[in-house]
Parts: sequence; structure tokens; C-alpha cells
Amino acid sequence: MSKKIIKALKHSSWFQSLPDEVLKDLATKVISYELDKDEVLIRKNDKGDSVFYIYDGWVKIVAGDALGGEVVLNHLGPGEFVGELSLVDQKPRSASVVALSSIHALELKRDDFINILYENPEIALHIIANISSRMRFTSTYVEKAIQWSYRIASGDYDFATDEIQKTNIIDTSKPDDVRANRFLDAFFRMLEGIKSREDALKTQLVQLTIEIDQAKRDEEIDSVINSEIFQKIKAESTQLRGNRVKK
Amino acid sequence: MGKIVSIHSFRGGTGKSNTTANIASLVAMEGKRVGVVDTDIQSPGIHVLFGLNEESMGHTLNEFLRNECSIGDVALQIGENVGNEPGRKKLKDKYLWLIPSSINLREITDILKNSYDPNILNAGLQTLIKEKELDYLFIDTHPGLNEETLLSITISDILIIILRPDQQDFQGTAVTVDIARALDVPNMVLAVNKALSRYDPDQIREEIEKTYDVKVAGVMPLTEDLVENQSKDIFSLREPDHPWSKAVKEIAETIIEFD
Repeated sequence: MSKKIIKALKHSSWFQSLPDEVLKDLATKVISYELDKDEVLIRKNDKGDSVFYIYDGWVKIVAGDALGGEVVLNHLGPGEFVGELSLVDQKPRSASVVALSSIHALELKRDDFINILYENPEIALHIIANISSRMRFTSTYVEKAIQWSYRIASGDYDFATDEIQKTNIIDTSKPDDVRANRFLDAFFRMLEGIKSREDALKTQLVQLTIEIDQAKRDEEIDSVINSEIFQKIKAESTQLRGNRVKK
Repeated sequence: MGKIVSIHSFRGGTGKSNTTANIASLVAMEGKRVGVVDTDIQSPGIHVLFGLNEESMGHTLNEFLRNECSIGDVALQIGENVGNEPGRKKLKDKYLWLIPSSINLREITDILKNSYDPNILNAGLQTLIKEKELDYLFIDTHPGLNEETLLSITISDILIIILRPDQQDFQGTAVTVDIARALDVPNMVLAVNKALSRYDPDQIREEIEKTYDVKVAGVMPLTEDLVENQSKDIFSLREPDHPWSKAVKEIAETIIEFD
């Protein structure tokens, strides 16, 4: 079992550069999990004092919606870490993590992690790189979402077609692309919802009808046209306009 | 040759002055040389949108009509007096002249009592176009059909009739459209203001165009945001992305497109 764990750790971006003896030591400290589909790896609001490394299988990150239903925020697969932020901020788990298939995962407690970090500070760089890439991913899409929100607010929905086409070129073997896909999917589903509700509202709009009293109209026009003032202006109109053209 | 654009409405309260000030400002923003004349001598108001009050106004149209000064003396270059409101500030260095009417009650009653010769006004407008080399001269008229409005319609290259989508305005606009046709106005468009959100703007446009056989240049929604602006700024420059501003922009573009 230990060999399998060492091998798994060697494949991780965080620990791959560690010397064998450190990995061996680390392998004795991690807790190994083998879960079946639908089993829960992390529960929302639990104390956050460890990080999980998925080395086989896929998990989903889920939060609850207002009606008690499940909202899937993300999918994570082999080689990815879950809950790494709690190593830093020790806050309770912000979402639950549930196995999508049978999975193998390793848990490393914060205290053990800190000890390894003291002895092998270069690990910190890998972790920062990992967190940075997620931050970059997040800010890219936050910016996109702001931009799109303005366009939606102004009633411009045309951009969605272009953006959806772009999502078709997503490489599903890349975790960031998978995440992007989920984000785009959720965003455009919202857009569809807004559009269909708006269309429904449009059909409820009141039809404007114009009624003109023709007799009254004719009477009023006659009274203006037969007035002295109108006759005078009409007679002078060519001259009034003619003056302009000459100048 | 500068074009005269009259803005008319059959009844008061259509937002005529506000719309005129905004259209004129948007046309000036396109680099055109623009004049705005407030011929609504009985109830002047457009000066407020350009940040003027009785003290800052200088000479007025009333003085010109009494032959006390030249029309050029009355014309105030707004682009050189933009003030601090965020919308109006954008007009800095643009060519936009305002010819205000006096808001002094004595002067108003004086001109109403003694009336004035519309031909003097007409001559003044021609002089103004020539002197300031205007591309467009906008005339903000008093609502209804009287001698001055009939005159301004007659000398217009383009007539904009502003109406609200209600039955009284529909009736009055029908009369105005027919009178304008009888006076051979070369170009005429309608602009709808204060359209309620429960109506579909496209349907309003379609229905009105069908009824009058006149192009609807824009449908401006009824909006509290405009009321909050309290006429202290040029709203379409202050909030260019607002639906009301976009509708006014559409009208301004229509005006520029006429040859």
C-alpha cells in the first residue's frame, strides 16, 4: 500500500520534487481513502484542517440551493487537490465533495503539512503556483461575467452565440477547461432563462391602439387652414423659404 | 446651407424642450455647428438644461425682437460655458449656440401684449445661420398651432413632432401633420416620448407610422431617471447608455441623415 501511495505522491505537482526519503515519511502520514460512487469525501461546514489529493477517479464539488437541491459547482479529477485553501485559512469547508465514480484519495492533515513545509520550503512554490493558476482562472471569468452582465443588462444577448461556439473547443482533459465549461454552461443557462422570461413578458404587453375622430380632425384642419393667419403664411411661404435659399 | 429643424408638439408636457436640448447636443457632439432658439416666449425653459439662469443669460431673444440688439449678441456659446455637470461638460469646445428667451415676467407680458413681427424673427434666424455658419438651427416652439408655430413650420427643412402615446396627442398630432403637409414641409418625423413600459416600443412605432404615414424617429420611454435629473443636465450625455438616451440618439442620427 505504501508503495502505491508513494507512487501517487510522486505524480502530484506539489510533491513530485521531494526526495524519496521525505516521500516515504509523508506516505506514513497521509490517510488513504477508497470511496464508491456517491460517497461523501468532504461535508460542507466541517472543520477545514486538511487537504485531499485525488489520485484516481472523479469527484464533484456541490453546494445546496435554496430549495434544498444540489448545485454542482465543479468536477475535479486525478492529480488535483481539494480543500487546499483551508491549509492556509483554516476556515470551515465551503462546499461538499462527493465521489462521481470509485475514487482513491489521500488526506494530509494541516499539522503534518506544516512540518513538511518547514523542512522542504520549495513545496510552497508549487502550492503558490497551483493557487495562482486558480486565481488567474477565477479572475478571467469574473471579468468576463462582468462584461457579459453589462451586455445582458442593455438587452444585448447576441454575444452568447459566439461565446457558446468558443466553448466547443474546450479540451475536457484539462481541469481548467472543464471548470470553464461548467461556468459557461451555468452562465448561458441563466441567459436562456432571462430570454425566455422576457419573451413571455413581451407577449403580455398591451397593444397600443390609435383612434382618431376623423370628423373632428377635418373640422380642426379646416378652421386652421381657413384662418387669416394660415392664409397669410401660406401666401408668403415661398418668399419666406426663398429668402433663405438666396442667402 | 444650414438646416432649420423645428420641434413641435400639439400639447404641452411632451418633454419637447428637454428632447430638443438633447437632440441638439448630440448633433453638436458629432462636430456639427448647431444653434438652439427658444421661441417659446410665453414659457421659456430650454435655458435651464444648458445651465443658465436670469443672471447668466445676458441678452435675450426679446431684446432682439424689440430691436435693441443684434441676434448675434443674444447667441451664447454653450461649448465655452459648460459648467460642471458631467453631461454638459462633454460639450466643451463644441459649436453650440443658445438663443434664450427672457424669463423676466415683465418682459414676457410685454411681448405678449405688444406682440412682435414674425418676419423679424425669421430674418434673425437667417442672419444667425449665416453668421455662425450653422449646420443646424433647432427651434423650440410653444405648443399648439399659432402664428409663430405656423411660421416656424413653414421655414423648416425638418419638422419633428413630439407626442405621447395617448389619445389626445394622437388626435392633435393628426391635425399638425396635415397642416405641415399643407405648408409643404420637406421632411417630417415623429418622436414618441413618455412611452409606458407596458407597451412594446416596436408596436408603438409600427402603429403610429401606419396611422400618419410619417416615420417615427425614436420611441423614448417614460423614466423616473429623467425626472431625477431635474433638467439640470443634458441627460443623454450624462447617461449615454440609458434607453431614453439611446432613443434620442436615434432621433439625432435620423436628423443628420437627411440631406
